[in-house]
Amino acid sequence: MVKKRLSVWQMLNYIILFLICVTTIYPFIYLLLSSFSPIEDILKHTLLPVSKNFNIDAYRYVFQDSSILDAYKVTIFITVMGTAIGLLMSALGAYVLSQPKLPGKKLFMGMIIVTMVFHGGMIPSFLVVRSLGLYDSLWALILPTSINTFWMLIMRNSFQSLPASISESARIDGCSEFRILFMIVLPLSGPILATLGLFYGVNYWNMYSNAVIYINSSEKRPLQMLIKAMYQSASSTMEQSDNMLPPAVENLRAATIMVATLPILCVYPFLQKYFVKGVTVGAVKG
Amino acid sequence: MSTPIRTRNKGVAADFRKKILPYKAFYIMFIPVIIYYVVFHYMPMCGILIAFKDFSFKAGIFGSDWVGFEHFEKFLNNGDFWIVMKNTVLISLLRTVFSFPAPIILALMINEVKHNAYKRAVQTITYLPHFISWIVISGMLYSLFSGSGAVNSVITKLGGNAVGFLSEEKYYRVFFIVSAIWKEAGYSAIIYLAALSGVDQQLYEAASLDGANGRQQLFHITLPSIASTVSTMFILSFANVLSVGFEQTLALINSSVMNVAEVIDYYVYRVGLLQANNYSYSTAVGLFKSIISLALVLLTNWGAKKIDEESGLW
Repeated sequence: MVKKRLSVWQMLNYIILFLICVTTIYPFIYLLLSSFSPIEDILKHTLLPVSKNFNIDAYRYVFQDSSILDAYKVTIFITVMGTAIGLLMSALGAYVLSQPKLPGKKLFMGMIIVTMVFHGGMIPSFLVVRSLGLYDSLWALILPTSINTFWMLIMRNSFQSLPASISESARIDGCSEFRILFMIVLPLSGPILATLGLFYGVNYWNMYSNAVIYINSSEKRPLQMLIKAMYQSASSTMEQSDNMLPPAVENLRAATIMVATLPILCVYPFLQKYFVKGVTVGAVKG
Repeated sequence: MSTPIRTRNKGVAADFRKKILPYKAFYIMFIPVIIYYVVFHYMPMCGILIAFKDFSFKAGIFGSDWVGFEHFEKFLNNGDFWIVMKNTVLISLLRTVFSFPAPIILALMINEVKHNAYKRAVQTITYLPHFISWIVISGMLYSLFSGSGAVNSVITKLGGNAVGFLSEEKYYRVFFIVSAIWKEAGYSAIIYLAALSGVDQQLYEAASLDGANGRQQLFHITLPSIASTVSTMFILSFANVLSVGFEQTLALINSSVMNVAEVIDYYVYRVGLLQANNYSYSTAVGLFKSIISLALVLLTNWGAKKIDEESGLW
């Protein structure tokens, strides 16, 4: 009897989880279908805008419109540069901090941990970026977030778990520390590099608030800012007050969102087993 | 008289050569990291000084006039403080009640799934929204819930009146909390799933031999075994009591819901950068928030340790 009641619960559990998954995917399906439908068909408004007149006009427009292409280029630039710099800086920091006997390590660690608990805040950071002459420059989107302390410490933990004898023997053979890091330690750290690469990449790809704070000219807007602007011009009565904007049409917006989301959708499932590990290593106490 | 000094210098130099020099390469490697932390973390910390000054670009941070706690008094005494604090604390409370347990419940549910393929599929799908930006999510919400969105057109087709889901104040908090759960519950469940997978399966076998039913196993084995993870995450969440998702607010806010949507972080942005350039005043507000957050973390950690030595963060 106990067994039977359990299986009812199990069934219910399976069904609820299925519904959760449907709720998770549904908005993506809705936008995907919208992006392939002509506006008239979306305007008929159903929960699944399946259209007989399936077409890719919206995508054709997306890849021709100069403001969308500009935004795409900006986003790709900050993502590639940001991820490369982020990984490099984190690797340098993590390698140094993983040295057990380094004099001054406690000081370095303390100095870094303090920044996790307390930070200057929006305006002081803005003033620093401004005084460096980075305001309205794409570097303002890359440099201020080029090290995520938490992720760097995850990387350090991963370096510490490598057998010390490998780098020790290379050192005895006269290998320089830079070469040990780049030729031995990093090649052995594929999973953590993949995980942090994904974290940094997604962070830069989705960057919005820093762009709002630091970017002024419209041709330097990343994709997220452009999408926001497309929806804003749609919700305001004065449509297309900004000449730089493409027409705020539902299928075009959907297509832009799909284009802005697809790269992530394609990448993350393959890195799943790595980031699951990365998250648990970093978050478990100790 | 000069001899002892010279020998001490020699000692320091020898020390330096023996202890520091072998690590020279590491210090060189660390230079970019140090520069990053100094420029983008410690310089802004010095910039907090302007919270106690009347900052002007001409005079610079150090040349501006001191005004003491004037900006803090202004914030506490004008009407904004109560509105902003109320909004922030309310959303925080809702978050603690609804968003915090959501990943725990999800993890418990996923943990009960016996078919591995189904388990993996559910996990992969629920991780997805974590990687999607708030802007895209606000776009999705607009497409689905705006006046002309899919949901409203179905409502009107069924004979109802269109509902201002995104433009009426009473719905804002619901959408804020639910969208946050939708985005993060699956990803946050990872940490609890890891804790759950560490539970010794023999415990369950022994319990069922002793006649414990599913509910008893849940309350006496499963929940106690993730309790320390839950308490750690709970303390960590206190650090964010007054940080109510700046990016999320930025994505979801609109002028018609401003009264309930404006939280401290957004307020700092609005008075500091968006509308008026009250740099000093908005830095003061930000500092006020940071100090209260810090105090809350320390307090919770202390409290957690009082209850159970093991459960504190440090």
